[in-house]
Amino acid sequence: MTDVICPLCGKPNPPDLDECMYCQAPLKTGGFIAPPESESELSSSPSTSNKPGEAEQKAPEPSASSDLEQSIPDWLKQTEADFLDLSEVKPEEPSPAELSGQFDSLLSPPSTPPSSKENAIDDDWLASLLDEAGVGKPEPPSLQEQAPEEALKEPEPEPGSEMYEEGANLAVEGSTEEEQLSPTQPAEKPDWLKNLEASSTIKLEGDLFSGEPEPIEPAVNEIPEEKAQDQTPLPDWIAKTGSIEPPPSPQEPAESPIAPAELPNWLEALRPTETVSPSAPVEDLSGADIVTAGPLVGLRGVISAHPSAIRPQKPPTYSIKLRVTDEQQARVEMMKELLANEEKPTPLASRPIITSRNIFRLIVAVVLLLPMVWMIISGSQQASTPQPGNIPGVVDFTQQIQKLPSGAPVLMAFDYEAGFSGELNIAVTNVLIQLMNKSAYLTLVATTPTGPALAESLIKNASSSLVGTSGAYSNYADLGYVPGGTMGLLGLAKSPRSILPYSLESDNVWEGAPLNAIASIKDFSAVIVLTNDPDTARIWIEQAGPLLQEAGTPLLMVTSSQAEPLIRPYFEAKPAQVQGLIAGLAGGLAYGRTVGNLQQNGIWDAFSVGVTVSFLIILIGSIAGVVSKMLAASKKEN
Amino acid sequence: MDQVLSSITNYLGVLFILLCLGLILFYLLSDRGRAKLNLRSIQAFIHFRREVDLAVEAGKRLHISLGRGSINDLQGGSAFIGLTILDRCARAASNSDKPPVTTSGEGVITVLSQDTLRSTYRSLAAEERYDPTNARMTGLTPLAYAAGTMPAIHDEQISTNIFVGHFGTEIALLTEAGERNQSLTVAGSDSIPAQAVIYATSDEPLLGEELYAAGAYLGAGGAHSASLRMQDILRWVLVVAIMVGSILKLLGILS
Amino acid sequence: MKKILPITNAIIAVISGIFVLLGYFFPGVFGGIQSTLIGWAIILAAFALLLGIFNLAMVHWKKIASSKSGNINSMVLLISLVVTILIVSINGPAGSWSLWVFNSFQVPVEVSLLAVLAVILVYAGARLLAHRPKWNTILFLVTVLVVLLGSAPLFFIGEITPLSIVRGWLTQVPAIAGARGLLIGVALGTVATGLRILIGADRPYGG
Repeated sequence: MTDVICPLCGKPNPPDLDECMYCQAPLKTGGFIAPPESESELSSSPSTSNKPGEAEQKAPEPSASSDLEQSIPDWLKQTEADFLDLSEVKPEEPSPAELSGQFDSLLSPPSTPPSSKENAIDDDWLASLLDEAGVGKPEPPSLQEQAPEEALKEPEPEPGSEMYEEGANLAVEGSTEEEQLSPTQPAEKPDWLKNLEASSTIKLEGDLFSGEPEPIEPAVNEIPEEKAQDQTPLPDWIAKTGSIEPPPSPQEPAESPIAPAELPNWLEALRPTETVSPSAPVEDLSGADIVTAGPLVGLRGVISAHPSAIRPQKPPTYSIKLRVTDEQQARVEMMKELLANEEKPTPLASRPIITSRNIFRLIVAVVLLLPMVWMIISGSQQASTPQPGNIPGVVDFTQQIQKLPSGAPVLMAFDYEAGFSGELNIAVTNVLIQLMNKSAYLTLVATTPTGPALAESLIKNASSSLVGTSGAYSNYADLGYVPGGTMGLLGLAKSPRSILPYSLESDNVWEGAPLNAIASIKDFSAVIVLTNDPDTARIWIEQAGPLLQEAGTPLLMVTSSQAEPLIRPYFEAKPAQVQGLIAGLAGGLAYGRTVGNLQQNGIWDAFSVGVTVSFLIILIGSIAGVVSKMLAASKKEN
Repeated sequence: MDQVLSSITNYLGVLFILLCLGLILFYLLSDRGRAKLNLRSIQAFIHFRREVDLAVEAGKRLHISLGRGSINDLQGGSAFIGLTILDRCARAASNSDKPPVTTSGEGVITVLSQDTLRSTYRSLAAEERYDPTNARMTGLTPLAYAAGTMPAIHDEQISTNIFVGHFGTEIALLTEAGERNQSLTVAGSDSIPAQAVIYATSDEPLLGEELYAAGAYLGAGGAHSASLRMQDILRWVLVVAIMVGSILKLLGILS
Repeated sequence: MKKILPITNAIIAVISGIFVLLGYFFPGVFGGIQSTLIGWAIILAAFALLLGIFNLAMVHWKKIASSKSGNINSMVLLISLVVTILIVSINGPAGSWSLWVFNSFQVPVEVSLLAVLAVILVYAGARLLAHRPKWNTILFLVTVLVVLLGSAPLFFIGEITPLSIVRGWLTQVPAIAGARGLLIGVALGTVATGLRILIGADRPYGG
């Protein structure tokens, strides 16, 4: 079964389809192609009467014939010519005069031989025109025009009566250059020629041969070619037209009732390219539903205009779950692991507890402390205790204490830290004992928070070591802590009553003797400052010193070894701002020797051995450090 | 002559104060718009800036210890310098994960350090980062203060320790703790024994007036640069005065 | 309010500082105001001490509440603080129990820390030259060794008199001279700091 060629896109379609499956153009209707003329209605020559409107319809005929000629390859033309030469009946190549006659025959109805079939002319208007013009029906010996309906009815033409005729497009296009074949029997075309014509993209309307009609395919319009019997004057442009070869009979497949239209070049040029060609469908709509109702009936893949086709319905629910493939999931897990490792705090590498530094530190501690502990335990007394005359300030201190009258009010400032008790307690205890022996009224103050507790503790210890007394020493008043540092000291110096109105036991000690006579710090008999901090000592000297110097009240100090270099210039100044100084362990022992309370508990030997070992450690450590660095540097260089 | 000297002595303090004030105001007003003061390089401040940046990048803390000096004493001056350094450190480390922690051994300094931190974060519009417990008092006595500060050095992931204020010899305990923690120690004190210990135990010591120049080196403001220039001038004035007085004493003019 | 308060703080600080300073130089005129202001400062300093203790307690309480490592030490501290306050409140600051707590805990702990300090200083002196190999360091170490030798008689050797004399000269002349220079510089710095606060250029009080 031969495919039907779509008149629009030119693609083959199955013959049972009504529409082209590519571009949905109707295959069975006229479309662009006029139905083929039947033999009976075929008019051999068109009427020459030019009625209004007819000339327009006739105008395109010359170009159609020329296009038809151009579409026929030259070898085919030659072959046809040879064949016709061999046959009895040759289609005469009309001369220019004959051309005009042929044109006239086109205009007038052709005279058909009784034996030839009459080519039907589809266009009734042409037939009517020809009748009016008095032109007989043409005698298309070889050209036949068949309408699709007549094509169905028409019997197969005799092979011998086949002739080439111009196609029906000549009649449609209004070509005046119609060849009218001689009413003689047209030469029978060979089958291969017919097939060639049938496969041509431009088919003639109707069957030129009175041969096998195609009931389905569009008929090829054929223009009967007949001699112009009635030569009518033709327009010049028709006369100029070249010889028209009898067009080959279209080899129509038996199934194609409608011949495809011959498109002009300019229309061909407008055909869209393949990429956007409407002939090529964007998507395969072969599986789409065909619209069965509405104006778009028969089309595929369109929205049906039928009301029932558009029903409001709930939109389909789509899953919001992300479709993740296994590979993607694996990658997500990998990314999560990477990020989790970034967020995890990297545990710090634990530092080793035992390092060379720690070992060295341990060795230093053991070497330093062990001999000292041994000295204290053994109560060694090998080292000679310091002499008071060799320690500057001790003798003056002793003298100042001895000058104090009995029961004199003495201000004692406990401004040293509890950690320095080991160094200062020897000197402080001896001073307290001396003052207690003189029954001095001790007024205790402190500019450190731990001072009052330290003072109370020392008073109790000192009173227990007094000779010839029972019970604790009570001739004292502990006024407590003086806040505010220098400001508090300045306030104490100017007005101790307002700064410290009560004692630690909440007693108003300023009302009783001897403190009732005290208005300012200079009213005390002596001021003794016990401190380990050189800054504290300097503050006392700078804030209370001027007032004390005015009244001639001695300022005595018991300090640590670290403060002695800074305080000693105040003692050695002239006039001296510090009238007595006991510094460090050596000063305390020297003062103890002075008052006859030398403590022989191995502390001086321990101090001596500690100093010696420290000296050796620093010396050897420094030398060893330098040597090791030099060795390391030389190794690097090597 | 003696009367002149005695009158000078009476008002010497006022004159000295007025001279210092005048110089500060003069340099403060004249240095506005001028280029940055050209200061000699102090290794401690170079390392200080670098370590602050490293601490921020490494996500570690800065530890600023303000000492135990009271603002009621002469030792308060070093405490105020410590507060200035605290302000600069808090600004530099404002975008750090771990804000700086400050310790002190005196109640007033503790309150002031809290106030400094709060105002610094407020000026940076980061008041939510302020935590009052980041400014803490660790002890009332010097050794108690040292004993309370050592755990802060060990436990708070400190990268740099800055000891600026009034310290005694107990600072050796703190610098040793910093060395055990493998953190840098920058230390400065107004106490002479402490400076001797700092020289021996600290990585970057600040001796003498270098401590009081911290504000100018860290860009704390024009007033710090102006006061630094005032100190330079007055130092020469005092040197000349000491030399003149020594000569006069030698000649017997001064009794 | 946020803008007014810093200015008010600055004005109060400046005026108070000026009056106290003038009270030193003109006691007859400004002595009374100075004494009043100093009295207020002493009271505030005492209250600040209590505030510091409260801050200490809060820090360690937070440490316990956050369950960080080392919170057992914080717990011991808080318990000790509470127990000591109770004992001293009941027994009095000069009571036997109060003194027992002081003599049994405070004094031994501080003395031990000072002993550790001595070991640390010796160790630091031993590695100073390796850590900082400079001529200053050599001078420093020589001074340390001379002072050490002159402080006490050497064991098994006895007192070396020349060393004692050298030590005396060293500590009283070059060391004190250097210390005085440092102290003058510190004093200048302190003056500058104080004046910056007096003119309001430096506001450590959060203004």
